[in-house]
Amino acid sequence: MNDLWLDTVIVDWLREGPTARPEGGLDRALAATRPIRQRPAWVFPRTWLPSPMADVRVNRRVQVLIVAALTIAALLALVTAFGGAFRRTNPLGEQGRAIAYQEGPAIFAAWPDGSHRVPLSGDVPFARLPVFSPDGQRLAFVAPASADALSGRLMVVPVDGSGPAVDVSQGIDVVASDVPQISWSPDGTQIAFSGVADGVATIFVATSDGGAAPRPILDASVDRDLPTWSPDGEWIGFREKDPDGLHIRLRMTRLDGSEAQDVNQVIAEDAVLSKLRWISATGGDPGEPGSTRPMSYWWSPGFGSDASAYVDRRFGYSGQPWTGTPSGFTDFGIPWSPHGEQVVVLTQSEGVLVADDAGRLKGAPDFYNNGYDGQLRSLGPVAACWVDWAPDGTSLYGGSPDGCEGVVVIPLSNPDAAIRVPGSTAGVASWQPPAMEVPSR
Amino acid sequence: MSSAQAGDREAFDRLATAVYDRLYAVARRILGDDYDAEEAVQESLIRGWRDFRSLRDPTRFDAWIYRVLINCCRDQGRRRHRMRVEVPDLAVERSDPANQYARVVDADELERGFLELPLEHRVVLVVTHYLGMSAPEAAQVLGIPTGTVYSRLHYAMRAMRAALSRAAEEPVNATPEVSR
Repeated sequence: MNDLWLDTVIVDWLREGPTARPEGGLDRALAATRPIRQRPAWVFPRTWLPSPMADVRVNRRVQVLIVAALTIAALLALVTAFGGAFRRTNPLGEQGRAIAYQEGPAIFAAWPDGSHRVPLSGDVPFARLPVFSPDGQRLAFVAPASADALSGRLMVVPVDGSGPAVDVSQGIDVVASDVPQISWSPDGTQIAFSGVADGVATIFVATSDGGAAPRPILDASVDRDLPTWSPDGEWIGFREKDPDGLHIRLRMTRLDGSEAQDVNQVIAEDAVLSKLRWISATGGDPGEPGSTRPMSYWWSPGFGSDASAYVDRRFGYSGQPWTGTPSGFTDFGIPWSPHGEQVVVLTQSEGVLVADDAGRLKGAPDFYNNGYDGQLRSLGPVAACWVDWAPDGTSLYGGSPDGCEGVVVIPLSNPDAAIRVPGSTAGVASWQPPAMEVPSR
Repeated sequence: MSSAQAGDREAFDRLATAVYDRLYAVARRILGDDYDAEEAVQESLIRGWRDFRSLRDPTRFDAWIYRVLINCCRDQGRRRHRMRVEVPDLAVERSDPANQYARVVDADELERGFLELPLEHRVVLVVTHYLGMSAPEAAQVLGIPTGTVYSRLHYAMRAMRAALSRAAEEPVNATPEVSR
């Protein structure tokens, strides 16, 4: 192979060139040469607007106005989107300081001085009997059809405003008496309430989110009301009245209706048995395995007898810190202080009485058959209708002494400094529990 | 020409249509790849449309657009980082002139040898032999001294000859027998 021949081959090959051309290549190339109107990214309003709009010439003043308008719109959008979340985070301020109370036909929550006031019953026309959940994040209340109706729907609403009130009774009429017929389970997932079925009041358990229809825990052969959940979540206490009107019992049962048993019973038309109140989960002697904790209630055997503030330690041990004529709503019962050290009694003769002797209340051996000889401290007529403990145990709150026209807060250290919650009207109120870990079941 | 330079799209389209095939052939020969060639031509036409107004002598459009194309080929070559195209050996009898594949084999060897050259040498070969430019014209288009054109031509042809000689001395790939 000589160089001349090779050079000839190479040059011929080069001169021939490639013969194929890409199909459609010319069209693609010409299309690529079509001008694409680029715009400087930094020039207002070309950065954000489509090209035809961006090319409209706008003077500087109008540009400033547009920027201002867009900024305001963005801020409004932020407030709309996240303002609710901020409120939801802490609408009532520090948890454990707000009281839910009735104000006219609605329910509000506010601090005792009226600050942090938040409406909670939404569009419900009539709302009564608020009860905070154990974690303080939700509120249950009854929504009757009219102001004087004796029953209504059981509603649950998140207190942070993150959602509407939910009807958890789902068509069952909840008894709306003077005192709440509502009791949250300790873990907040269920609510026991007294509902009317076929003309008979009985105890139902509903899921607190309304996810399931309420179920009765016992048959509807007799009237049952004033449900109250035990601190361990295993029992529900309630009051039972036979149709003859003579037999009244306080009973307790497992959630499935098993192991139903009497706590106390009386046989008299004028007998008194109130809501059963267990000592708190953090207070008192847990007792023997399987036993229930100490409980309190109003008790009167009838036949014209006085009523007693009754503390029942179970297994036959009991005592009455005070006996006489009760005042207000006896169904409200004898509330324990948050740590189970004291009980409070509302009396006609001495007003508000606080039984201070925790040892006597909870288990002193001689606390048996009127064996209470601890101190009874009279606060005077600082409350009417009902009285209960603030979660921190330093104050009481109850119906105002002027005829329960509102809610008052009574410092135990200085009962004369009681203050009235602004705007509150008649009705039992509920104090928001402090933030705490709710025991799981 | 002048109307295309003045921004007449149809006039420019006519110009581009007239030169497209030759532009593509140049790019295809230099780059050795259909896709790269089309990309280079397309880019050269985009630049051509964009910069046509800057051409002071419109009659020099051909030379100018080839220069633009060569620059685009350089860019494309840098992007691809692959100037070697693997051309598969075909198992044919090369020495038989009657064999219908002999020409194909020669063309493959030529292309393989060509693509082994540096891009600037390939450019000089294509501009002078395919486009038929003289060394001074090629120098003007490529923006290099005429002497450089000559030297690159010299080295390029020598490298091509060496490549073809090596190919001729290599044993012919026979169709492998299938073991039975």
